[in-house]
Amino acid sequence: MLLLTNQEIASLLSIEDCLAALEKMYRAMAGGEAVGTPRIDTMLALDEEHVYSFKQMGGVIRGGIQALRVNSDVLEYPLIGDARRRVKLPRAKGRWVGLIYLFDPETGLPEAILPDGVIQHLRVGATSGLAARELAPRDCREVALLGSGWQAESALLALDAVLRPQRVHVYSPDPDHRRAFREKMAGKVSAEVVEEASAAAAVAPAAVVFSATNSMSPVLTEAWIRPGMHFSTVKTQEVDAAFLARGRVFLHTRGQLKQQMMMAAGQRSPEAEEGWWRGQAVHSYPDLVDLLSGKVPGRQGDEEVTIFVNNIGLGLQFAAVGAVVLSKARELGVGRDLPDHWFTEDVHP
Amino acid sequence: MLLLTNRDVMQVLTMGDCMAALEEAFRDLAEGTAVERPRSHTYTPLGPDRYYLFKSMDGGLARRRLHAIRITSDLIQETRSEAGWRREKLAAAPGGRWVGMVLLFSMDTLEPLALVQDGFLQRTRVGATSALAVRELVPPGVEEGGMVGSGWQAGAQVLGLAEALPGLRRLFVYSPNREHREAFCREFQAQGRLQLVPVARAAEALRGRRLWILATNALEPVVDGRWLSADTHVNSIQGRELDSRTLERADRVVVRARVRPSHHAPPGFEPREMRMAQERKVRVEHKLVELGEVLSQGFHREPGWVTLFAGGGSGGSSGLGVQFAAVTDLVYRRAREAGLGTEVDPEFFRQEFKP
Repeated sequence: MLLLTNQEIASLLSIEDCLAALEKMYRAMAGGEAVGTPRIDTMLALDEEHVYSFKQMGGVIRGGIQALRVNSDVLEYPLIGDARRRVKLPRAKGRWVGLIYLFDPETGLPEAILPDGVIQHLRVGATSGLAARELAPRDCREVALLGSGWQAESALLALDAVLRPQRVHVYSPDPDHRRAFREKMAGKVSAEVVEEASAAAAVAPAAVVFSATNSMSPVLTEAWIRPGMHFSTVKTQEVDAAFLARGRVFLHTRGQLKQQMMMAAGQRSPEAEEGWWRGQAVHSYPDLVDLLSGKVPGRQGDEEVTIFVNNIGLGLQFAAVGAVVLSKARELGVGRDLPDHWFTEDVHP
Repeated sequence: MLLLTNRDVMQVLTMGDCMAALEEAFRDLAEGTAVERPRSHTYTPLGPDRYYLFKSMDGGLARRRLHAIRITSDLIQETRSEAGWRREKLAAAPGGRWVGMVLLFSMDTLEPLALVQDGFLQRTRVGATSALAVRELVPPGVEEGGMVGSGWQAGAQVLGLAEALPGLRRLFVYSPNREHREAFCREFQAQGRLQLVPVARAAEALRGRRLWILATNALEPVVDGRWLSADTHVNSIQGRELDSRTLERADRVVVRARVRPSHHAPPGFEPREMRMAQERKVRVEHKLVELGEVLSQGFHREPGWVTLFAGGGSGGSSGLGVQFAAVTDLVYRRAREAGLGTEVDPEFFRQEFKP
């Protein structure tokens, strides 16, 4: 049973590895060779302002690995500016808890426990990256990136790897965050990272717009839409129905539109908001499996507006990327082994 | 993070304490201070009648400020014998072992507090849950009962019955293998006051008895509802052992939770147990009652009623995450007091990355 740290995983896993592993996984899904379990979050009120949330998702790829990813979070929902945000509090001694458990389907044996941070970040970016590869306009030189958090970091890595743009125009509301983001990321990508003072300024020169925020209200606006653009979002709330009606829309997955929330008897979810994903049109949107398997064509012509919505993550992504990390760690002798017999038992369960 | 083995659990977990912890959790679920996620089962085919089954269930208790997830990672072989289809968990892990564990998380510090082997805990949990149901649902004045099954689940049922029903004098026990049932009766006879009588047929164990205990791994019915008389309580650990008549005859069906598990398998693959779980012939939704409601509000038993406490596959959920949260919390606290277990550096389970 292997234990790895995020630093070790970061040293083993590149965005290119992640793109390749996920592409293979989407093809396995198309061929009926992968089975995922839906994301379900339980929520329990701790007090007036705080909710404990336990999130789980999983999946198994035939001939591969069974993964279970869990997150143990305390959430609050502050108003920042005029937007409601969802904030995960670092209550684990200033840190967070998200773990991936990997199992070997041939023997049942737990093979590894991994912190989910690096994998989680890279897989979100890689997902949007794969969609952009099929949906973005050809020879796209200018890209806009809205957001400066970790979602924006991995989105930048992925779009840099997939689209090879010349410049990425970054906007987020806090100028210090923008600067810190540019300074951190400039050396990690081949594109030039440019700070912009408004979202409109970032979008104006761009043919591709990546929105990577934690906003609970729409970020992308119709006024920005020009023929031939590609838009990509990491949250359903970043777009509204009117915006989606202006382009050809792809979801990440149709199998589950949003996470299911399990509340205690008599409690209401703090996130039970309405949105386009509860409407009818959503059922007509193809998803990334359709796109990558060729069932539904990618970009059709220079004028088409395409929109990718990463509506929810898949537990299967942790099986796909986790398997790559595990095999590289074994090959290079990275990490530490705990005795297998601690994680197996001689009493019939 | 504390690692606890079955040996550690055995040293600190008693049937009586387990029942008390579970009773609290079921009440909390009914009263809105506990939360449960429907369990999920994932099936991956590995050969004829053989598959990999990954299950997980989780639940949280606000009172204890804990959340637990239980995971089983099983290789299942479905086998046909004279007694019908059964499912066996193969000891496929290195050294001929199984894989099942409970992970206990703190709502205050987020981190995993313990990883506990689930075998002994699981057995005690099933026995204690059945015992709570029997205690609340058994008709008055019952001194004799019948049981089908003589495996490890059956043993926990006997221990639970002894705790829940001090007035029970005699239990008639049937299982298909004569040597098994006789050895079982001898073993548990030696442990308590309850008299155990092995019998050669299921009907002999059950017909006319007003308490039925079913504790088998059968994929096909082991009982016949025509053997039921009025004022009877039937306690079953999993739905496939029940026949349609028993489900039809039951006036109330008490379940751990109404929420149904979800089953996931690749297209075209449908293991027997999954198919059976999905195609139930008898609808019981209108007569379901949750055990938490019974424990929190009481249960009024009408004269003549047949009551059924049913496991998974008969209209409600089988084992719940909140049950594992309650029992694992108890085990964790006792093990800490007793200085048991192996510590793993908690730093491995916290991260500076915001997930």
